[in-house]
Amino acid sequence: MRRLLNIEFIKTANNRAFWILFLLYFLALLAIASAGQYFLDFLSEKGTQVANIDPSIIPIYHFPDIWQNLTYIGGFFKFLLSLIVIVSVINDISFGTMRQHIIDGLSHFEFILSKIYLILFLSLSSTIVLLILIVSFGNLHTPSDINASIFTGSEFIFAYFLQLVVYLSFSLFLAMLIRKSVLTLGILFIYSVIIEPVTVAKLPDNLEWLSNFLPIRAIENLVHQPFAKYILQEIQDYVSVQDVLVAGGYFLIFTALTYVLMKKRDLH
Amino acid sequence: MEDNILEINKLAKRYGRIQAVSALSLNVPKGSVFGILGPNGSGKTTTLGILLGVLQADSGSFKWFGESSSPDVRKRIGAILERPLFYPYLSAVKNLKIVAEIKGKGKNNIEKVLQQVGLLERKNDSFRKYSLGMKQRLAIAAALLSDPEVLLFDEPTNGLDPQGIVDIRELIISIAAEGKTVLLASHLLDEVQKVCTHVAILKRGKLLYSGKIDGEQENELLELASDDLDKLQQLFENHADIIEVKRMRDKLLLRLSKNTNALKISRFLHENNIFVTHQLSRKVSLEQKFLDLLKD
Repeated sequence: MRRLLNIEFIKTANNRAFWILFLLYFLALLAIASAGQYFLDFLSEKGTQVANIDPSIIPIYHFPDIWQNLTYIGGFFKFLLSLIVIVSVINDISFGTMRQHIIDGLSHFEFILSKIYLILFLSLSSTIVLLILIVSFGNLHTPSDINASIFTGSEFIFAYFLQLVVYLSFSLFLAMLIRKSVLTLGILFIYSVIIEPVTVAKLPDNLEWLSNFLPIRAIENLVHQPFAKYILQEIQDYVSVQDVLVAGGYFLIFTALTYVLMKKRDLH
Repeated sequence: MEDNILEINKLAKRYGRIQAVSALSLNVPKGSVFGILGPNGSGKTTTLGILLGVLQADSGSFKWFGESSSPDVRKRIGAILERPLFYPYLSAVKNLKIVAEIKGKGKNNIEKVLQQVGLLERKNDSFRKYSLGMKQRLAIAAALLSDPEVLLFDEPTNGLDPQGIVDIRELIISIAAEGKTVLLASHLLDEVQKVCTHVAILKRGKLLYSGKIDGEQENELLELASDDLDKLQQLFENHADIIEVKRMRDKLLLRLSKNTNALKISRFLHENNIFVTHQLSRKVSLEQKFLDLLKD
């Protein structure tokens, strides 16, 4: 394990593009996580009302709501992390270093494992940063007269971590399949924004349950959109075991497919 | 039985309509410098790619050190295939560190191998700043890094200047002198002849010839001329030790069997009272053999 981490570390830590994307991602995460209150204050100043209440008092940063709210918002910029994974894989393909690694005695499985370590590292860093943001914002904004435990709802941070891991393993698979970075990004985008949503919309009523088993939906289901509850709509305000299992299943499927792809193909 | 480092058994691979490698069987003896010679497109790189685990064979098998291919087997081989493959944004040292991690050894050899290929002064420059020759030399350094039992070089002097070519050849010869087995794929006959002890000649994926590069193995050729070529020709046409008689414009070309030599033929002529105006003996060069083999 240390060996693979070392290999991935030398390649990644010395790559300027990695650092740019990595820092950009955390700036974006910080910005979007802290923007909520400003947005609500802005709405309030303009005199807008949401479900007949003043927006600035909506408790988006209060425990326990903050767990689901920020893990949901935090997921918006995960494509920046997927860009890091895609660039890393495509670099190894286009430099020919993936091929040289195999020649030198790395196994196909070890190569994929080294990329999974990268995925785990990215997901974990993002999760830790978000955790710090949630705890500090939560403590800052939650009125002292609310006695909820700060850990209520904390399972969302685990769901957030899993969400990133599965999404990045999907990117890893697509990169290995397509082998061109711009095309991979394009297809990831088109699939997430067009193909899957259109498929979901076209599903006949009796097959609607299937939509929860499509990959992007399965990833997004881990943290449901929470804000509708502030206009008194019903939402899923917990992490369901079935959603975790489906997403976890996708992680295994993407990893296995990536391995099969690499093993079966000639590396030119 | 000879100790073989590599045994290839009926290896085959097809790309669409092109049979890149066809029923190739070959043994590489331990300690040899084994040249794989063939024109471009003869299947050299495809064969090496299969042997190094990056291409999948359609059929056939091969064994390194008597074992089936595996990542652990490949760790015992230092190899470059086609072109140097490194991270352009990393320095020579960092690129070699990655190789050492994969091989599981050689971290302490980095300075030594860079010295060996003459790159020590440029060790902290990133790979992308290197000239083609320097890239090639870094690839050789990477192959040497783990002090492997077998080295495999695919066209190692491609793109080098004349001095670079000489340097690399001397390096390969000195590696072989340490008792390591070297596999060298090349389309340059001269290179194989200067460096190798054994050669396999490939054409369109088929093995045409495999054996030692060694004078004793080759037939002697004898050129003769006299005032009466017809008579001379008659004399040798039925001679037991002459494999082939060829009439050139103004001389005869004899291919001698192993039982005879130029001196014996000269004596034979003398006994028959024939005196020649021209007599030249030469060994069949690998070049001649190469061209002969490729012709048909």
